[in-house]
Amino acid sequence: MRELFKSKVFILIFVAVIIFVSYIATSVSTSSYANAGEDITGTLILPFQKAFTGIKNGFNSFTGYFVGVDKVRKENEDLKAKVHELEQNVLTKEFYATENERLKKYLGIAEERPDFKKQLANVIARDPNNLYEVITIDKGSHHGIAPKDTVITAEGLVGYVIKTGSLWSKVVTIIDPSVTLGAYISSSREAGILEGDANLMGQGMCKVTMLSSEKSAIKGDTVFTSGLGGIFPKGIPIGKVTELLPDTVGITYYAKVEPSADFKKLKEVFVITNFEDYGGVNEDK
Amino acid sequence: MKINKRKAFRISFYLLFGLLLLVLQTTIVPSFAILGITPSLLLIAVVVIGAIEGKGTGALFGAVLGFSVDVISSRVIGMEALYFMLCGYFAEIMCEYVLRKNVVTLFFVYGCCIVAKLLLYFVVYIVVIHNAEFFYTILIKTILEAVYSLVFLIPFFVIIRKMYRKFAQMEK
Repeated sequence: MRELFKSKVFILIFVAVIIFVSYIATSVSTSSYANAGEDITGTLILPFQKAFTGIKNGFNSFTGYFVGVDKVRKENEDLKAKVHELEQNVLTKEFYATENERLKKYLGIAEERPDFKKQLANVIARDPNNLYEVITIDKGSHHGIAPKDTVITAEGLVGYVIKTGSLWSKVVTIIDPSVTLGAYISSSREAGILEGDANLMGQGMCKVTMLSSEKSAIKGDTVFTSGLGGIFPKGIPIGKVTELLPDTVGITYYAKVEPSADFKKLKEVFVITNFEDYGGVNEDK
Repeated sequence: MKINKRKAFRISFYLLFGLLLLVLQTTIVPSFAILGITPSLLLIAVVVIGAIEGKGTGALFGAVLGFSVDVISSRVIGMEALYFMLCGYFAEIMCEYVLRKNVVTLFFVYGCCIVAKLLLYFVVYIVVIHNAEFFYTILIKTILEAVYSLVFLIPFFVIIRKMYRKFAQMEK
C-alpha cells in the first residue's frame, strides 16, 4: 500500500484531484461575474467547446438521416393517412357528383311526365331466391303505393309492385319469367310482347316476342312500353335490342332486349302511383 | 512512468475512442431514451478501460473524458473530470487488490462507482444544500441510468479486452 502512495501515478492523480477541486471551488462561486480562474479556463476551453459543437452538429446532420428514420416513418404514416383522407374526400365528391347527375335525371323525368305522381323509394332488399327479379322497396301503402303500380328509374322501366305492406313493397322486375307487357320497337313502331325468359334472366335480359319479320327491329333499337295491358303507362323506355332471332316455330321473330335499368345496381326507384288503367295485364303474376 | 511510442499510440487510440463515445453520447444515444432515461456510455468505458488497461490509463482516460463532459455541458468545471478520473483510477485497484478481473467484477466496480456518485450527490444536496426532494429525483434517475447503461458493459468489456490483447501483442 505504501508503494501505491509513492507511485508516480498516485502523485499525479493527487495533483489532478487538487486541480479539479480548485476548479470546482472556483466554478461554484455565486458571483455573476467570472473570477480570474474561471475566466481563463473559459477562454481556454472556448475553442474546444466550438470544436465539440462543430463535431456534434456535423455528426448530427450526418446521423440525422438514420436517427430520424422513426420520425420520417411517422410522418410517412401521417401523410398516408392524409392522402387516404383526401382520397375519401375525392370519392365523396365523386359520389355526390354522381348523385347530383342521377337526381337531375329524375328531375328530368318529372318534368317530362308531369302527369305522373311519383314516389321515390329506396331498394332495401333483393329476394335471395330470385336474384334480380324481385326487389323490396322501403315505401308501402302508407306512402300511397298500391299493387300493380309501375316502378321506374331515370334510365327506364323496372317492373311493377306485386305486394304492398304499410311501409314496404315488393316489386317484380321485367326480366322475371312471370312478367308480360305490351311493348313496341322505336324504329319500326311494331308492337310486340315483352316477356321475361328463364334462359335470359341469368344474363339480366328479356325479350320482345311476336315480331312479324326480320326487319321489325335492328340492334340498338329502343323498346318502349306500348300501354297495352293497362298496367304500364305508354312510352316508358324498357331497353335496347341486342339481337333479333326467329322463334322456335319459325313464323315470328323475337328480339333480345337489354333493359335500360341496371338491376344489379338499383338503389332508388320511382313508383308511379296515379296510373290506374289495370286492364289486360297477365293475371297469373 | 515512461511513455514510449507504442504506449502513446495506445493512449491516443483510447482518447479517440473516448472522443467517439462522447460524440455518440451527445448525438445518437439520446434517441434510445426510455422514459426520458438515456444510457451513459462514458462511465462504462472509463470503468472498463481502467480495469483492463490499468489505473494510469484509466485515470487519464477518465480525466480527459470527464473534462470534455464538463466543457460540453458547461456545468461546474472539474466535477465530472474528478469523478471519472477517480473511477478510472480505482477500477483497476478494486479489480487487482480486491477482486478478480472479469466481467462480473466490472459489474461490481461499476456499481461502486454509481454508489460513490450517489454519495457525492447526497453530500451536496442533503448535507450542503438541504434539498432532499431533488436528491430523491437524482437518485431514481441515476439508478435507472445505471441499470440501462449496464447493457453496454459486456460489449465494451469484449471490445476493450480484445484491443488490450492486440496492443500487448504489438508491444512484444
